[in-house]
Amino acid sequence: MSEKRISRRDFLRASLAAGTAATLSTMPAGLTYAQEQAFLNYWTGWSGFEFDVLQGLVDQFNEEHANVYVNMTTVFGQYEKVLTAIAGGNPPDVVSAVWLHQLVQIASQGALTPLTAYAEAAGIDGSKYFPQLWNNWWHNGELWGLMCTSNARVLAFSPPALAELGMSEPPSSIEELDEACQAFEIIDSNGNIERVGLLPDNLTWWAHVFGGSLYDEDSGTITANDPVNVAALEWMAGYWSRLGPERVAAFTSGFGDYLSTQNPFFVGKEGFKQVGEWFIQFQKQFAPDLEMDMIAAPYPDGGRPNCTTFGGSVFTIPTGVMNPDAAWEFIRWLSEDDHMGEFCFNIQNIPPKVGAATAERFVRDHRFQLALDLLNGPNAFGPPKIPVNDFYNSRLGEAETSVKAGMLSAQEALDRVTEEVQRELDMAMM
Amino acid sequence: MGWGAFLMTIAIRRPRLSKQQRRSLLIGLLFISPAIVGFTLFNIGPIIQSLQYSFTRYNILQPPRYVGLNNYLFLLEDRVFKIGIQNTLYMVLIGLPIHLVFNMLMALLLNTKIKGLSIYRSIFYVPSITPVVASTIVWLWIFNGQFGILNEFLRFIGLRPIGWLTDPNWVKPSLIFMGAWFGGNTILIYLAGLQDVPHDLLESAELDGANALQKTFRITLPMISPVIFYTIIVNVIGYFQYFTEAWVMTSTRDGSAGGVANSAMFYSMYLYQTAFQQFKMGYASAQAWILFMIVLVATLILFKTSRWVYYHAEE
Repeated sequence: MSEKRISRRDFLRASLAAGTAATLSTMPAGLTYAQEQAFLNYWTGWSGFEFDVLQGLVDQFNEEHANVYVNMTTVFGQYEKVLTAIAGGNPPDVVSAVWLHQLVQIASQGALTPLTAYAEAAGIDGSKYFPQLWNNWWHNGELWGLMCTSNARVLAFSPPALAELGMSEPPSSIEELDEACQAFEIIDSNGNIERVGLLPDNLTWWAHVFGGSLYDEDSGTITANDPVNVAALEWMAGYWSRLGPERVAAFTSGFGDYLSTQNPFFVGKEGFKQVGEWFIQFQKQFAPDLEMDMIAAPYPDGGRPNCTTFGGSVFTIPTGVMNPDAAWEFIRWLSEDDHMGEFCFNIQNIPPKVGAATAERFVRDHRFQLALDLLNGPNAFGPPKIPVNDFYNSRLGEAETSVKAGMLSAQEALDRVTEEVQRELDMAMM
Repeated sequence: MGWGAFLMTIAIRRPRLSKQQRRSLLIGLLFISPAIVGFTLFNIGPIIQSLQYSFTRYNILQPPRYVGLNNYLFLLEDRVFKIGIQNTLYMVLIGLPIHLVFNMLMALLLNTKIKGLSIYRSIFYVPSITPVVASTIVWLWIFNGQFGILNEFLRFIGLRPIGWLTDPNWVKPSLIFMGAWFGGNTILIYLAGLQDVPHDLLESAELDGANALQKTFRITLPMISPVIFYTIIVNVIGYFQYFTEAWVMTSTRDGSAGGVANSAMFYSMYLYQTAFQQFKMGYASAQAWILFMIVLVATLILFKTSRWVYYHAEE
C-alpha cells in the first residue's frame, strides 16, 4: 500500500476551500439585495397560505423601496425564539410574532423600541384606528406596536343544520343556546357522543359575555373569582357534567386538526363553534360546500349583548436593531389602508383601521360586518394591560379544564387563579 | 469522573515525567483541548452560572437581580411545581418498575433458543432507534379517541372508549403503556447480561433438579444483578427528566402542554415552561438545582441500598 503525504500548504488550501464552501452554503438562498440596501429580518407568526399572502406584500414593498430589503421568516409555533433572539443580541428588525396580550409584558421587560416618536412624525395619531385597539398598544405613555390585522370572536353555526332541528332563528339568549345545543346532541346506544351542540371554551370570552371582567385597572387587582365569572365557568362546565367528562374526553380526543377538512365543525360533529371572522376564510378553503353563518355570543340576563374579545399580532421593533428607521418604514408602509386592507381581505381578518375595514369588499359579507360591528361596539374587550397575561391565561386554562373534569368547583378554581395570578402580578410590579 | 482522573494524573505524575513523556502529555492535551475548552465553556460555565442565577430574578433581557433564597421559597408554595413533582414521582415509582420488569421479561424470552430469534430481537429493538417524536406521533393516533386502534378494540368488545390523553385519570397510565415501546435499549443491555450468565452454574442447578423458575430467581437474576442495578440507576435519572413523550402528546396549538388540569405536567416540562416560555431564568435555575439534588439523593440512596447486587467476578 503506498502512502501519500499531504503538504502543509495543500492542507491549508484544502481547509480554506472547505471553509469558504461551508460559509457560502449557510448564506440564505435566493436573496437578491444590493450592498447599500438596509437588510431587514422580519419574523412573522403567520404560516401557510397567510404567509404566502404576506410574502406578496413584502415583495411589493421590496420593489417599491430601493434602499430597504425585507426578508420574512415564519416562527409559527416557536414564539419563544423571539425573546431569546432579542436577549442574545441578535434580534430580528421587525417582529409580528407578538400577541396583543403579550405586548405589555414584553415591552416592560425592555425588549421593544417605543414607536411614539415615529408615529408622531408620520402623523399617525390613532384617529383612523378603532379606539379600543389603539389604546391597547400604549403602556407607560409610549406606543409599543401597531397591528395590521385584528379579529373579534363570534359563534359560527350552520343554518341548514339548525333548520333540521326545526329552528328558524339562531339563539340569542343563553337559555336558547342551551336548548339548541341539547337538540343537536346525538349519543349512541352505548352512551358514546356522536355530535354535540357546543363545547364552551375560553372563559375570557364567556366571562365578559356574562358581564364580568378579569382585571380591575383602577385597583390593580385580579378579579378572576368575580361571582359573574364563577357563574360563567359553572355554565361552561355544565356541558361537561351533563354529557359526562369522560365521554367528552373520548369524543374530543378524536377531533381532527383545526386547520383541516377534519375540523369537527366542518364534519358536523359540533353544531356551534367559537371562532373569529378569520374562520370565514378557513371555511371557504376546507369546507366550501358548508353553509355557515355567525352570531354574537348569546348572553344571560344581566350579561352583555354584542360582546366580543379581540386580539391579534402586533408589529414591533425589538431593542438593539441595526436599522430602526427602515424597520419603522416597513411597519408604516404595511399600515397604509391599501396594504393593510389587501392583507386582511386575503386572510379574512379585520383591518384595525376604520376606513380600511369598512371598504365594500369587507362589509358585503354580513358575517364580516357582524364581527366589525362587535369590534367597534361598546362591549369589545382586549386583554388586560398587565405583564403577566401568559401566566394568567395558563392558570385560567388549567382552572377551566379542572372544573370541566369535575376535579374542582368553579369557585375553588377561580379563587385559586385569583390568588396565584395576583401574587405573580405583585412580584412583576416589584 | 474522567475529568477528576485527568487532574489527578497531572497532579500526581508530573514530577516524575521524562522529557519525552512531557512532550507526549502536551501533545495529548493539545489534541483533547477542544473537548476540554468546550466542556468548560459550555458545560461547567453554565452549570456554575445557573447556580448563581438561582438566587436572582432574571428574564434574560434585563440584568439579574439578587433575591436571596426567594426563588427556592416560592417553589415551596408553587402548586404546579408540586404537581410536577408528584407526576414525575408517579413515573419513577410506578412507570419505571413496570417498564424494567417488562423489559426483563422480554429479555428472558428473547434469550431462549427459538426459531427466528434474531427477527424477534430486531422487532423489539427497532422502536428504540426510531426518533422519539416520530414514534410519539404514531402513538397519538393509537390513542386517538375516535379513530385510534385502542378505542376501536374497546368498542369491538363492547366497552366504552377512553380519552387516553384527554382524561386526567388515564393520561399517565397511557404514557406508561406507551413507554414499553421504547424499552429496546434496556432489553439489549439485559440480553447482554443474560448471555454472560455462566452455563456451568445453570447446568449444575439443572443436575440438582432445579426448575426454570428456580434457575431464574436463584442463578440468572443474581448473576445479572449488576446489570439490573445499572439500568435502575440510569433509568431513574432518565425518568426524573421525563419530557419528550409527554410534551409531544399533550402540547396544544398555543404552545402550552401538560394535559387536562396539568395531569401530565412533569418536572422538566414545568422547568422548560418557566425558563423558555415565561423567561423566568432565575426561578427555572432554582428548579433545575432542586432536580439535581433530588436525582443525586435518589442515586445515593440506590447505591447505599445496593447490597442485593452480586458481583460474581470479584470472588
